[in-house]
Amino acid sequence: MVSIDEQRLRDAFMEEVTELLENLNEKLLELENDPENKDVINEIFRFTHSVKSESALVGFKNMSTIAHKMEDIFERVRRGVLIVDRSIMDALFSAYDRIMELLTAAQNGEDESSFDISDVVNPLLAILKEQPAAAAPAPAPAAPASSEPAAAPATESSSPTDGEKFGTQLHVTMGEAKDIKNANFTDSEKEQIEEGIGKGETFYKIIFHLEDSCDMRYPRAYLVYNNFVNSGHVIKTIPDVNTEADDAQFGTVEMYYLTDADAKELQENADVDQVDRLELYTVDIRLLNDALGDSGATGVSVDAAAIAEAERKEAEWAAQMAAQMQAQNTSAPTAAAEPAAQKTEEAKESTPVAAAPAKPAEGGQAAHHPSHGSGTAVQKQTIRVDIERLDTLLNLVGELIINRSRFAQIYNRISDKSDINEVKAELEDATNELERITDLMQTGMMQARMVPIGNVFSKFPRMVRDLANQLHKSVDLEIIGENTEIDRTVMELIADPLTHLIRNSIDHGLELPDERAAIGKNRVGSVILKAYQEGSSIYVEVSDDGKGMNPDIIRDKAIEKGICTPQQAAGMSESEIYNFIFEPGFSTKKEITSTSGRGVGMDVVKTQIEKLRGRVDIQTKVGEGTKFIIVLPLTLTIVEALLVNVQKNIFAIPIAVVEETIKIEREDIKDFDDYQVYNLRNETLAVVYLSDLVGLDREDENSDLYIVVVSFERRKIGLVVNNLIGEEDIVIKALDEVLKNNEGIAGATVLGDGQIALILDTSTLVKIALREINKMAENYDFYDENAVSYGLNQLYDMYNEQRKAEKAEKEKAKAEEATAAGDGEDGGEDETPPDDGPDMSNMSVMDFGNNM
Amino acid sequence: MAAENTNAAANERQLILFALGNGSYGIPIENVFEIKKMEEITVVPKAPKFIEGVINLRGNVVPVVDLRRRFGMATVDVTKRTKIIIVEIGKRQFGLIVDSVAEVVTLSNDQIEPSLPTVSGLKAEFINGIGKMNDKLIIILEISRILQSTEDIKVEDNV
Repeated sequence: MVSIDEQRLRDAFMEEVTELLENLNEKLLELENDPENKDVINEIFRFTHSVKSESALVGFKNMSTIAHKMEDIFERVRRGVLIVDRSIMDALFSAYDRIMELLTAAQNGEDESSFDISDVVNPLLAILKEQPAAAAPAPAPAAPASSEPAAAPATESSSPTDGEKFGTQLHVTMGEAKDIKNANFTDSEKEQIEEGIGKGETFYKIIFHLEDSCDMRYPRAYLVYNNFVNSGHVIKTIPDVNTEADDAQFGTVEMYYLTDADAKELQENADVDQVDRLELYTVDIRLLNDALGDSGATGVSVDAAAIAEAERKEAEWAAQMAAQMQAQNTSAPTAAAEPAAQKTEEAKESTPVAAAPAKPAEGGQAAHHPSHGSGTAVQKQTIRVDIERLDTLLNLVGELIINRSRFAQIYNRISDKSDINEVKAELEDATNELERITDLMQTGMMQARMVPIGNVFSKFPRMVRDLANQLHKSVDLEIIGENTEIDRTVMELIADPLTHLIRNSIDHGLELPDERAAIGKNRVGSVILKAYQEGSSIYVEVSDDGKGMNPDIIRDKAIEKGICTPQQAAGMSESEIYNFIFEPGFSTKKEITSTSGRGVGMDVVKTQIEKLRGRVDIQTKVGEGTKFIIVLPLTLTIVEALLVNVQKNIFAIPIAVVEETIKIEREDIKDFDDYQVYNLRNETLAVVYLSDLVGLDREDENSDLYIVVVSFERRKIGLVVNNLIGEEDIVIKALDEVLKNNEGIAGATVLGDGQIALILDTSTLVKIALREINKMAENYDFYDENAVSYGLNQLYDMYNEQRKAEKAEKEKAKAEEATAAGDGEDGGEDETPPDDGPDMSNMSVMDFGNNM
Repeated sequence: MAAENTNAAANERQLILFALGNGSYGIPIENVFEIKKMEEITVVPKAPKFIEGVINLRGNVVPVVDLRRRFGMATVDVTKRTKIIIVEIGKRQFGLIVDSVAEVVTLSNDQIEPSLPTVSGLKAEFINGIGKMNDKLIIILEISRILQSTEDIKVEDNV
């Protein structure tokens, strides 16, 4: 029993603390850029405090100890006695990393307290030693004369996390309102109040005061107002922030407010710099009734009581935590000493009692761990699914069950020998319905698997920070579109390629700050990580404003590395040349660094993304930067495909790559040595028998054939197949490992009739075909003096030219011969004219294999 | 995992016996998922030679190995007795085409000897052990190796 509760508690903890840590990480990074940002400091303080408390609660001593020390540091930072610098940040990040490691270990069922943490705790202790704490954190002084003496005993916030703030201390007073006479509610306002109370919201009179010395009072007051608007419904403010804008009017602002947020959240709303006083008054029902007329508004005082109760519970809880922390601090931070373990044991037992009642009282919104933001660094095996999405699916399952009984009825009617036409109509209808339901279920399941890409993105700011420090570069990472949803499988597999691209941008792309300054760029380099959806594709871009890529250097390098011949390179477009960086063994960086330049990586990036049925495009300009664009399909399990026949085999070609299909006669395909071409609207299209590509025998019986024109990286190729079957959404099934190395086969699918169709990996197939063609280009003696290589179409033209020239020469020779022999032209008939190949004279040159 | 016996009596092993040429072979019963009649097999181009293709096993696409080809034996025509034994190792399933499936036998560990490298002409790594039943020798296959090694396994047809 106990262990199940404990396990549940730990599971909840994992979930919460992972989010907390994610936020902490984010804020630490922010702090590094802006070391004196009080908001950030306060937030970090809160996060460390929460991590400390939460981990202590579930008995993770090491985690709690580290977080505690971090909290101590930030307690001083927020008081202004300690200012973070690089070395402190490093210590904090190491500490943070260790907490993450401990969390991962704990998740894998290891005992987190068995790990040594002295190496990260000691530096923190050293920092604390340098800056000894000035006694205990001073409790917030009691609120000075408030504009309204509290009727009920005011509750002073006790936790050091509340309201208090470096620079401006926010004094919070809570109690019951004495009067709301000032309000003079209009009828519509009264209605709003009644409605809110009817919904169980609490009605507050809130007064906040801006520091006397502060400037820009109106904007600040508006900021506070706006914060409140976000967590409830502001009935009115005095003065009215929506009509008044004069700074002088906004010393003290009175606000009437409906909300279901708890007191803590309200305090946070007022936590704006230079707001020094906040008074929160619940409004007694009698006062309210007076103000509202006779209409009953019950439950108001109950709410007030609930809040008081919640506050009391919280104070209790805080005291308990303090006791626990003390217990822990007395034990050695590293060893799992007996007495400490015992204390933790006790703490665990008391946990459900202390924590459970406090939470419902806070309306489920646990103030200690604000759960905004998203993201997990620790790999979770579960995903959170929007309840609405699940409900939709559940509804569909319900419909499916109803549909099933319809089929049962149809069966009965067939058995009853009912009118066949009626039954037929019924069956058609039921089948259509089944189709609709299954379609929706498919979409629903797909959506349920979708997660925001921010889950992956969130780890990059930290990585960029470390990398920038290591490489002595200044980098500003901007993240756009982190809410873009991607399939969970894609998310897991996209992390590594993205990591590599970002590293690449920082290491290879961005210049050193001095270099940047010298060429008039901002010393701080910019890396932008951007995700968005367009149609059924997800785009993820990694761009930098660094030095860009020089095609000449890449070309030379590719030649030097033997990736291509100078002849091939000469005929290549820039985009083809950029693609060399994805070739195995290609690396332009001269020295090998620990981050990139190992010559592995970029090729892995490409392979990985192609595995996800995606592609990478490169846009780059020397001196201006590089952008990698990853294009991924929305889902990996279902693909729309064109089914084709090669003899009795069925192949599926993803529809995304199919440009068009053409019905042809066999003789329309012209041979050109071992290669085939087809005249497609006066363009030469290289065609390949699919049977040849996949290693089947070419069947020569039927004269009717089809060409499926597929495109890949702006190149087109025609696949010759026997027949087209049609388009279908197919579910991709992975093939067994033993078949994984089959070039050109991406997987298999089971068709409606149980037959298996193999799914073609067209990008690989096209590459194979082009490789062959390039090989031929090399064999051919068609290089001109500049050693330029040609695409198939040029080759073909030259082939024709040559043949024509040969023919002309022969004819000329023959004519000469004939003239010499004085024998007219009749001897010519015996001579077989050399094979011309197809007449290419009317064909324009299509950029094939040589585009751009 | 393949070698583990589901039987409570750890000193016995249940095997499914099948024939390939003149040889008698056995597969631990816990690795046998299903035995199917020979059916249409979808050819997978460029697959390793011993892979006959893939079949649809209740919605899953599983590879099928022609054991004769795998062991370098002469291929024979499909008969009514030709069967596909679907074996399972962990989550991996694949089919083995065999001449015929005979019976299920229980051998005690005394009847099983570890294989010797030379015995029967099959490489030792593909043999889990040699069972002796009456006068018959049963080659117990180490099925986990069948898909792994890319080299052909040679077997003399007359074991």
